[in-house]
Amino acid sequence: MFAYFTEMRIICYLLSFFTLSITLHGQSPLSPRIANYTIDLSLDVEQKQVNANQEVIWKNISTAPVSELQFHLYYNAFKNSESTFMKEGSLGGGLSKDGIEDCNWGWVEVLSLIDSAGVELINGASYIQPEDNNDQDQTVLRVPLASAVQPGESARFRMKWHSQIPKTMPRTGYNMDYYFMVQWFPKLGVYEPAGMRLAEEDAWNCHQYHAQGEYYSDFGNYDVSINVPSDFVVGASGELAEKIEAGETTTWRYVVEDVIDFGWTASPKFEELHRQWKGVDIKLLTYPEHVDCAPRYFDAVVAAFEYLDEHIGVYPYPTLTIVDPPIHGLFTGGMEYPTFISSVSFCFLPEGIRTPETLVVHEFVHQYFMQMVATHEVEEPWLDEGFTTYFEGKILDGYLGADQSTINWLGFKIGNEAFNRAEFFNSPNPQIAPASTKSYEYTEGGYGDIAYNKTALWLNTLEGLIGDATMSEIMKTYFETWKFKHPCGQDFIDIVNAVVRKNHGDALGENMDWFFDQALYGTDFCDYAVASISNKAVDSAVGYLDNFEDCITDQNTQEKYQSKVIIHRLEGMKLPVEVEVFFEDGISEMKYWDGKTRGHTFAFLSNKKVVKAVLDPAQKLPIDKNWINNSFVVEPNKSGVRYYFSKFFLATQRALESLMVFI
Amino acid sequence: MKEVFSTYLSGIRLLFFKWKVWLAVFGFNIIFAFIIARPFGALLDKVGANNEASLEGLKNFDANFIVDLINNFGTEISLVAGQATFFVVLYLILNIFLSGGFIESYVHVFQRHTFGEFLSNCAKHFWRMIRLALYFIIAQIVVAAVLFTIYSKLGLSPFELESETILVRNTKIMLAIFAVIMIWVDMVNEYAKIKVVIDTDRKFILPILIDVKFFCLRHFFSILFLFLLCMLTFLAILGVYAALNDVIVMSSSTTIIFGLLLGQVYMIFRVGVRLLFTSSAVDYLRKNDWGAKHSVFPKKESA
Ligand SMILES: [Zn+2]
Repeated sequence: MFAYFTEMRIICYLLSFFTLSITLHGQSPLSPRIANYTIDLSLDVEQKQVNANQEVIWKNISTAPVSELQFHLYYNAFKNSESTFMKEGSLGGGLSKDGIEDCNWGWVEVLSLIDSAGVELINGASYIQPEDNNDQDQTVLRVPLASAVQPGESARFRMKWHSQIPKTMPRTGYNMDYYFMVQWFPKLGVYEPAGMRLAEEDAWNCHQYHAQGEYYSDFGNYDVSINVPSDFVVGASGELAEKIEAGETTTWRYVVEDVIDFGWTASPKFEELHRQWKGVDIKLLTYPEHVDCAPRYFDAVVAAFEYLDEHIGVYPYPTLTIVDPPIHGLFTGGMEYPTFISSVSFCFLPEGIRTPETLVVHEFVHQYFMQMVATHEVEEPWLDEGFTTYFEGKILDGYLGADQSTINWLGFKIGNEAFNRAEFFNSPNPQIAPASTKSYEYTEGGYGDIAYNKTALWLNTLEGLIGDATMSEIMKTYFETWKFKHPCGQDFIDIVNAVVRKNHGDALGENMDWFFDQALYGTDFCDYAVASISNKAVDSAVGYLDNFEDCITDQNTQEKYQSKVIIHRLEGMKLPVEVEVFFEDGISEMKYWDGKTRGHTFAFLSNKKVVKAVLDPAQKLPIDKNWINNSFVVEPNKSGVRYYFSKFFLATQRALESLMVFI
Repeated sequence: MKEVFSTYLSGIRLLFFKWKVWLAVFGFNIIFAFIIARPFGALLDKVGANNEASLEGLKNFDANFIVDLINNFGTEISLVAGQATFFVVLYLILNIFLSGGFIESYVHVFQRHTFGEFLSNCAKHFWRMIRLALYFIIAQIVVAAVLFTIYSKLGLSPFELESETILVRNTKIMLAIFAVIMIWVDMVNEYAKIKVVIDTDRKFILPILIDVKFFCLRHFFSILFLFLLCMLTFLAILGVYAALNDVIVMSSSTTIIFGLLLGQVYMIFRVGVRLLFTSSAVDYLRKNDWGAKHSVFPKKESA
C-alpha cells in the first residue's frame, strides 16, 4: 500500500513538475535536462539509514542506441577498508580506531531497478572498476538494459534503494544529529557521444569514487521529498515546494531545475537566516554558536554575486543555501553542490582570519565553474578548482583588499595572490605534476597546490600577459558558450586563442598554445632576474681615425654613457617580460623582451646613467617564483633591509627574555 | 600589605642600587640577540644587495617578500635557525651560570665584588643552580603534560564535540589553572634560587626546595601580592611600549633608529622587571627568613 502510494505520488509530482516548468518559463529550458530524478526518501535517524524510491528519466542524446546504464554509488566508497577511496587514503585517513570498532561504515544498495516495461534489471547488474580493477570497489554499478534506449528517446526507470549513512566521512555523512547528504543517491554517469570533450567514441563516463576529485554528471531536474523527524530543519538544493507535517515526521519537498546534482542537510539545531539579492533567496543554515558569523557569510557571498553577475553572467536560480556545519560536522565544510554549498566557521575565529569568507566565495564560484559550466572535476580539476581559486582571489581582493584578502590578523596581512604563491612555491614538490593531471593521478601529492593554487597563478599570469579586458572577455565568452554544457580544457584554450587573436592579432604569437604548453601541460618554473646594470663612460675615439698618418692620442671623456641592463632567465618557463629602466634624472623607459633566450641585454647610449631596472614592474607574472631578484638598483636604499633586521633583532631580544621564565 | 608594598619599593631601590647587574643582564641580552640576529642580517644584506624588494615592507606587511625569502633562501634560513637554536641554549645555560653571581650581589648588597669574585660566585653556585633549573623545567613540563592530558580527556577531537564552545570553555579553564600553578611554581623558583645562594653549604637541592615550599606556603598571600605587584609593573611597561610602538612607524632610516631605541628602552625595563622579581624576593626573604630580619634598606636609611 505504501509502495503504491509512493509510486502514485512520484508520478503526480513528475507530471506537475514538468508541466510547471514548461508553463512557468514558457521558454526553452536552460539545460538539456538529460538526467532527471524524482526521489522520495525517509531518513531513519535511529539506524542512520535512508530508504528511498527513485525515478530516473534519462535521455539518450547520442546518435546510437544505448544498451546499458552506469550509476555512481558513491556511498560504497565508505563500505569497507578495501574500496578505492579508502585504499587511496581519504581526506581523513580512513576510519579511526573507534570508528572501526563502532562500525561507522556506510553503503548504498540498489534493491530494485525496473524499466518502463516493468522488467527488473537489478539481477543483471554488476559493479565495475573502470580505473583500477579493484574488484572490492563497488562505487560504479553497470546495468545492462532489457531494451536499448534509442537516440533522442527518454527512458524511465524506477529504483528502490537503501543506504547506511557513514559517520563523519569526507564531504558527507552524519555526526550526532547533524546530517550532510551529498553524493548520496545512485546517480547516473555521463553518456558522452563521440566528439564531446574530445571523446573518440560514444561511451559512459562514470569514474569510481576516488579520495581526490569529486564528480561529473548531467543536467536535469530534481524533485526530492525528504521525510525526517518533525523537529528537524531540512535544507537542500533548490526551492522548498512544500512541507507536509504528519505527526512525528515531516516531509520537505525540494525542487530544482537544470542542475547536475542535488544535496541536502538536516539537523534539529539549525538556525535559518535569510538575505535577498536581486530576487535570489540566500539562506544560511547555521548553528547557534555560529550565528555571529552570519553577516560575514552574507556580505561575502553578496560581493561574489555582484562580481560574477557583472563579470561572468547571470545566476539563474532562485535560491542559494549556505550550510555552516557544527564542529562535529567539520568534514562536510567547504563543499559545493548546485545551489547548495557549505563553509566552515568557529565561534572563536577572529575577523581577520578570512576562512568563512574565502570558503563561501570559493564554493559559490563553483556554481558557475563546474555547476553551470559543467566541467569534469575528476579528469580536469584545474577547470573548476583552479578557476574557482582564481575568481575567489579577484572577488575577495576587491571586497577585502588585495593585500589582506586571506589574513589580516595581529599585523600579518596576506592577500590571495601571496597565499597562492606561498601554497604553490613552498609545497613539497611544486613540479611533481602538471596542472592538467587528473585528480586521482596526483598519487605522489600536489593536488591542492597545483590544481588550485598553480592554476590560479597562471590564470593571473595569463591575465597579466593579455590584459584585464581580454581576460574578462575570454571568461564571459567561455561562460556564455559553455554554460549548461560539458566543456573540456581544449574548449577553454580554443576560446583563449580566438579572443586573444581578435584583440591582439599575432602580438603574442599565432596562438596561445605556447603558454598552455608551459603553464598547464608543463612543470617548469618561471624565474626572470635583473642580473646587473653597468654604466661605462664613453671616451672619444683615439688612433688613426681619418687617415694613416695622423694618430689621435688625446682621449677625451665625453658626457656620454654606454649603459647595459642584463636580464637572466633562470628557469625553464619562457614568457615575454617588461622591464622598466630608470635613468638618473628620474625618467624611465619601458622595454620588452620575448624572454626566450637565457639572457638579454638592453643597451643605452645616453648622457645619463641607468640607476635602476625593474622587471615586471606591475607584477603581472605571479607565476615568477622569485620577485626579489626582479629589480636591480645601482645604489640600493638599504632601509628595507634595516627594517627587517631591526624587527628580527627586537623579536630575538624579546624571545630571549621570554625564555627566562622557564629557568 | 603595607609591608609587602615597602618590600616592593625596596626591590626597586635594590634594582637601581645594583644598576651594574641590571646593565649586565641587559647587555647579555643584547649581545646574544645580536649574535643570533647577525647571520640573518647578513642573509638580508645578500638578498637585498642590489634590489629594492624589501622596500615594500616599509609601507605594508609584505607577504610576497617573506614568501619569496622562505621559498628561495630556505637553506640559508634553516642554517640561521640552526645557529640560533645553539645560541639560545647557550644563552640559557650562561644565564643560569650568571644568576648565582647576580643573586649573590643582591644578597650581599653592600659588599663590593670584583669581576673575579663575581665569576667565582657564579662558578660556586653553577651546578646547584643548573640542577634547580632542571627541576623547574621538569616541574613545568609535568604540569603542562598533566593539564594537557586532562584537557584532551575532556574532549579535543572536533568530531566528538557537540560545539566548539565546550573547547573554548575548557581552554579558558585549563589556561587559568595553568596560570595559577605556574605562578606558584615561579614563586617557589624565585625564592629557591635565592636560598640556593644563601645556603651555600647545603649541597642538595631537594631539602632547600622543601624549605622554600613551606616558606612560600606560610607567606603565601604576601609573596603572591609581591609577585602580582611585579607582574603589574611588567604589564604597565608593556602597555606603554605597545602604545608608543604604535606611534613610531618604522618606515625610514630615522624612524627605524627610533623604533630600535624604543625597543631597547623597553628591553631595559623588561629586564629590570625580571630582576625586580628577584630583588624584591631577596628583600622579602631578608625580612622574614634569614638572620637579618630587616629590609636590605632599613627604615632609618630609606626614610
Ligand atoms: Zn573548490
